[in-house]
Amino acid sequence: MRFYIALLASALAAGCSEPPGTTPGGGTPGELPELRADESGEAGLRRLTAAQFSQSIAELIGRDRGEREEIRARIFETGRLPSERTVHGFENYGAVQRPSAALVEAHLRSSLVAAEFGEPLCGDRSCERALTSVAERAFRGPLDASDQEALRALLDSSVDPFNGAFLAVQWILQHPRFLYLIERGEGEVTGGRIALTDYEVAARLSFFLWGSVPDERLMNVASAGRLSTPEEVASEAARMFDDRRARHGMRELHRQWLDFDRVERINPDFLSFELFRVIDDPNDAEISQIRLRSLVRAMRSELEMFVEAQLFDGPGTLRALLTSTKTHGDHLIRYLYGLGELPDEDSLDAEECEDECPLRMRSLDLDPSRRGGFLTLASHNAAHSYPRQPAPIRRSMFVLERFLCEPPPPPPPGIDPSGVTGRMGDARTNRERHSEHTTNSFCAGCHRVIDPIGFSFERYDAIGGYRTEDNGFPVDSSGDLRALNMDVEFSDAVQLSAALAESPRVQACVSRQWMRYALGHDIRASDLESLRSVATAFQASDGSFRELALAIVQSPSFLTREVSQ
Amino acid sequence: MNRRTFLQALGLGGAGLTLPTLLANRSTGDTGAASCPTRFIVFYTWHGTNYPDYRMWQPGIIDETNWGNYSLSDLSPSDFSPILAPLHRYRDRVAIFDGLGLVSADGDGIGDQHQRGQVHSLTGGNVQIIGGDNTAGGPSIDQLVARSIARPDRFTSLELAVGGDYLSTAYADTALPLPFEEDPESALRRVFGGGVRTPNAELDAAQSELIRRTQDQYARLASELDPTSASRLEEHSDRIREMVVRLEGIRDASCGMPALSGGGSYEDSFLDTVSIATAALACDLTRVVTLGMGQMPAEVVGLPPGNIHTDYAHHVYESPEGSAAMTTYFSRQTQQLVDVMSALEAVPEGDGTLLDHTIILWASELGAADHTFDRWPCIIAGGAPGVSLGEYYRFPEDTPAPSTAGATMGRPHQAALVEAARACGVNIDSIGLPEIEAADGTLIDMRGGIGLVGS
Repeated sequence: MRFYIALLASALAAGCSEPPGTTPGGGTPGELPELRADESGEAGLRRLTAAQFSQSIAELIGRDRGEREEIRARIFETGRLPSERTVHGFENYGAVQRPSAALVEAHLRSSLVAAEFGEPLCGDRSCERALTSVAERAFRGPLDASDQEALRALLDSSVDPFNGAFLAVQWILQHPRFLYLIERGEGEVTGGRIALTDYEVAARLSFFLWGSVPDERLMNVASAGRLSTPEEVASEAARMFDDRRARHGMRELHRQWLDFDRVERINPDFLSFELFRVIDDPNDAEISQIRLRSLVRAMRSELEMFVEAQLFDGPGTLRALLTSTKTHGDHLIRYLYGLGELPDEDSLDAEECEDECPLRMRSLDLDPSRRGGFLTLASHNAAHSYPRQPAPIRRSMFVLERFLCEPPPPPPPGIDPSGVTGRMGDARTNRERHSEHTTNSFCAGCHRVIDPIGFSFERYDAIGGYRTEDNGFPVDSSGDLRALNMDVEFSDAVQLSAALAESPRVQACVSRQWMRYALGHDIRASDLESLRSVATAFQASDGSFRELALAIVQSPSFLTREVSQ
Repeated sequence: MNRRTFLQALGLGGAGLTLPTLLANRSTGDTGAASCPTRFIVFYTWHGTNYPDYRMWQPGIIDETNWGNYSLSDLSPSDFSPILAPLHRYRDRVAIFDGLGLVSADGDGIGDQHQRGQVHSLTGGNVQIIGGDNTAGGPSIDQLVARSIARPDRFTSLELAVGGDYLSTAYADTALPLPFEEDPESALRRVFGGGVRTPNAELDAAQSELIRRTQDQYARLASELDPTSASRLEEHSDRIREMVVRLEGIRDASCGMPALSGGGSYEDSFLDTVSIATAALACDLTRVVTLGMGQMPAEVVGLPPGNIHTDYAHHVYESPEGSAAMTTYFSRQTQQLVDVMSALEAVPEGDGTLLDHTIILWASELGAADHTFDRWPCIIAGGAPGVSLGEYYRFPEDTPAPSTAGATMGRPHQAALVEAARACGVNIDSIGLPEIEAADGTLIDMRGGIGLVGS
């Protein structure tokens, strides 16, 4: 086996020194790296994801905010769709969205739930006209003769208008034109690509920017043929980016890209953290569980509010995302940032009500010597931790995958991981425990790339609090990115983050991530020209996310589709 | 937990519970099926085993250099290995395999070891990357069996996970992983109904017609689109067509709904999931279930806080503490298998119990938690007509390894999958890859079973 390992080591080192996606070296500072296609570029017919599905139904059927929330809650409770397969964290990759028995059943259950809200749709207008209008938005285009006839037949089949609306809503919500992004295109095929119709562009826009169906205005713009040039599309996209729905849409993009869901799975060791020692009896896990659930809820909220604030209420730049010291937190998060007292037993009453009562999130200014940007948030670091200690490899892999698009290859077979993570209790600090990675020449090929980034976050403990000591020894969070051919030295994650914020490789990667999400597939060779123009525009705009979105929607990859043979 | 408490928690023991309802349904409701059909459960756990505490050698008969099988009947509890000790009670109802290897996974070059084992362990075939996703190139054993034994008017299979973060191990076909339900309440609602009702009789009557109308839209649209899009819509239409048949069938069945604990802990979730699976199998709502056992939190096993995967599993062969911890962990999983068997045994059926008509395959994605593919733990349990259990099997480790010239591994694990299918009455000769090439160029034959059936 040792012989085998030696053989693989050379291959592995090559894999890590020449990561996929970009070339090493990076050229002169400020220059975008050479862009490569992703390894797997199959596209496939895109289906509405679980999140898009329930958001769309809420937007289509709900008459006001309260009703929209009620519909989403009812769908989650009764008709929840199975969780989606993810690629790079994204849930909307058509190639992997295969329908299962559980999926079509959930569609049926959800449509039944939503149909109960259908009766008022008829209101004082004729039922057929009202439901035709709902169907057109749901289908992102006019009904054809056969659909119109089917709708009429359903309405006529019932003497009771309520029953008619009930059936029609169900029919709309299970229709393939609602559930799938059907794209035919129109005009001539040029270079293997065909232009999308205005309605098809409208659908791409609304699911990219809003995570939902178009509104009536977007439908009107499409109907008037005013999405036919990149400029027209950009102008409409600008309107959409400034609409309230974009807050939901961008939250969705970031939830997937930056893996907000991981915070739901934090599993801290209660005895290791004062925050969970709420009462004298250290074995009363139930009290600690209440606090944990409350913390998870606040942490998810912190991640969402941080991103939303940077995007819509702040500068809206990559630099702000990676350096801002403005966040939001409730009393538990304020404590983790050293901005509040240790919450005692009295605060448990408020925590116990869980979803029933609103979170009391307040705006916070973080100490710039300790925090700066998304990667340094307590919630993000808690989500990438083990019960007692930070998980430096996970924290680093997150940066490498999501911000540099350079994930190292998986460990080779036959690897002896027990020697790598160190024995329990031997090492003095968490960093020392992981140091075997880089002293063992076999592992060093990849871990000299992975480890320095991970160690930079060692100042954030397993629940995201700040620490200067680990196990009684000083924390060493310094390192450099020479193994990535980047001329960056840092003393901690704040400095690392600030450096990443200015890196053309990060700008190129962020452009790639947003394009993957906008298109619902990996970057193919035929998308490289679009990616190049998008990344250039993103860089030229000083990393503005709004400009990034506008560049994507004007790119040929977004406005046309490949014609399959 | 003793048996009585467990059964009470399942809602299957004591007076006035759901069992009589289930039996009444069986005697009157089900037609067209054999009186006691064979059911199939895949019990899937992660991290392999701790081999020295798994194996049960009999020096001079079965050991390092002696292969073959022996009867478990006369073994005392102390003759059982630490990990398998809880199975002593069911020693006549299990076949324990020692010396199988995930040989084809060793020869695969895609994905990390967990992902590779996850695909190979139940499909017997290579990992494929489709659309950026690491996936399988063919059906997993549960789905292969379901194709033959499932009733079209019931659930083809149920995929239930205990604990969060469970990665799918069930593949209906190439690149078609099935979602696992992690929330017992959602699973209960899906399988036993409840929660959604059409408001009145007129609508109830219109329901099937509406779904059929929906299905027509898929067919019509598919005919107008490019082949890739069309095939996806046709696939969706197939799922709807199957659902119509299923919903009509389930409407005609009346099954008692098991009571759930309502608790959110790992143990509550396990009890509730087993409860749902048992009730669904007993009422013939499905014949195939995968119980995906997510990683147990350390505290559930009574271990000091830590992450089972990184703090314990990786140390299984390196430190005495890691080894002891993983033995505790794996023996707890054996107990969970015993709990599943007890639940099935508590349901009378025909001349015996549900356990007499259920084949359980216990499989994992690795041989051991040090990421190796050899010495793969595997057990076939339960019962079915013509299936001989109650034996310990040790296979020679003489298969040339696909990745390393000169190295050897155990017998290819496909044999256990083939045998499980045969025990369910599904006669196959191979699954996934029928043969692969070893590093030294010899051809490794991966066809054939083990011989529990009709031997």
